[in-house]
Amino acid sequence: MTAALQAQGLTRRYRTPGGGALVAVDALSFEVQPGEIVGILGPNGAGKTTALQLCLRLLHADAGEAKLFGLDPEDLSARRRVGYAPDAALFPKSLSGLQVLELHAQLLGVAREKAHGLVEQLNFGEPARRPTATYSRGQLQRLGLAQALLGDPDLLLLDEPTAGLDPAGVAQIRELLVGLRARGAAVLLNSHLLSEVERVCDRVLFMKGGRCLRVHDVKSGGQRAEVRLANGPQMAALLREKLPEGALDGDRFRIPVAGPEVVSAVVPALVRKLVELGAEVLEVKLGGAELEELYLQLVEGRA
Amino acid sequence: MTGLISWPVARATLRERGLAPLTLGITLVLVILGLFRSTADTWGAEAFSGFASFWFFLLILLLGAGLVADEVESGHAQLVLLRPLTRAQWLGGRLAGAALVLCAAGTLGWLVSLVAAFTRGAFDELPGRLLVLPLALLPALGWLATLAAIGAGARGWTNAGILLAARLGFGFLHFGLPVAFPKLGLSPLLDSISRHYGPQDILLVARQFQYGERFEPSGVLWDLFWFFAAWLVAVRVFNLRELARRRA
Repeated sequence: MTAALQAQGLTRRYRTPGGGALVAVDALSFEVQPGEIVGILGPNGAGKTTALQLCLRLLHADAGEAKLFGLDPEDLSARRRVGYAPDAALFPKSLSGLQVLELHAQLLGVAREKAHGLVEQLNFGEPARRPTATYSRGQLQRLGLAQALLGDPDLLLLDEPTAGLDPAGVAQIRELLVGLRARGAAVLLNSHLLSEVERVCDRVLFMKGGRCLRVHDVKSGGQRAEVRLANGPQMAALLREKLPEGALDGDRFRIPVAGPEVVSAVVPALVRKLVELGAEVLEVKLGGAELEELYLQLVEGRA
Repeated sequence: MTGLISWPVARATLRERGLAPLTLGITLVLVILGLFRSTADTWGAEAFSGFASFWFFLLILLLGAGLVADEVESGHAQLVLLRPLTRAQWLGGRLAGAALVLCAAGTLGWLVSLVAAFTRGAFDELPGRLLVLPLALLPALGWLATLAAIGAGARGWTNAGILLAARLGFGFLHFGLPVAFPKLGLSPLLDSISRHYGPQDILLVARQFQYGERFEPSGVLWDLFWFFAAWLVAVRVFNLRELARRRA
């Protein structure tokens, strides 16, 4: 199957005022398949927005290339299948939101009614009739998202789509993304909201300093067991020696579990082993690895 | 024309520029001038000559100011250019939208002056009066395309400032230098430059036609050339600027 988006060795440097070069994106390679939501996580200045812009050829790469559906990003037939909602999009101030959407609908060859329908779907009916000059940050964000969704794109690139949105708006976007995935669309999502990324994404790219540190499989990988011990601190040395793949944090011992299919076999064996080592087990929890923890580990370098 | 102009972009520009309060205000001034300056003795250019020419040029400046830069600097141009259209079509659409507003405002002023002239009994000069409209609009479109060409590389509304400074600056040289240095005999040279310095005022052709005089079409051809050349330059400069921005 042709990937909806394929980035191969994307590299982008910016010239600094001092005459040096800042590497914003460094040899970034990844792909997004149809029916998949991929998130990008990283601190400010990690190169996330630049990566999105390189994929769409809004910026030229110094090295590497991106393909949309196997085509050059400037190919008009590829563009027809792509939606992009930038962070803090701005629109002509004298036009209303609906007029902006009608313009984009006409450019895509989509019926105007589609724009009207989207406005209703995003609960954006009243503001859509006002000039965009009067919009709040959240309303601009909704309009940006609506224009990206026109034409039912097969690939959607979203840059901080929930910034400035109220909780209801965030939930709405989550539902929308899940709906898009269900119909086979691919989504590349750049967001700071770890909880949202964890809830909707299939895979997550951790970026720092323009480099991809790791691609984390949210759905199938990253399961872990967390065992609360009454005598955790006393067990520290023994656990480090006998179960080095786990980590003790106060009274909680956390250990990765390979995959859901083996969890039922691994967890009882783990508890048995802990008891044999002399641990007093108070509680066992099983769940997905918290993205925040992984983020701090990978990006911030915290153990 | 679809290959050169994106009509959805033109329609949006028409709406955006045409409904701006200043555009509507100047159009009203043109209508009023056309109404009250038109008499049975005048020949049909009342909406575009004399005091009205100042307002008409102001309208051109207003429609062309930031025509390209406003969209580029707001970031909306980036979104639009992700749609299946070329940069040339986008720019053609912006220019066509502003041109339609200019033509509509000019036509309205001209129509009012025509009707006013008829009510005052000037029926015998119809061919000349009809010719006034395209002859007034053609150089106006040339100036608008020039603004687009300057704006394809300039920031914000500076394109209007640059054009105004260039016109006033040359006007100052044209009339000032021969007075300041009469012995140098600069007048013929400056006159010659003036005939090629931007679109030419060709309203005189209507008058020549009206009175059966031999008329000189070179001005019309020059303005046609200027309009398309400025449009071409605008597309080229915008392409280069966009590519440079993406590589910067």
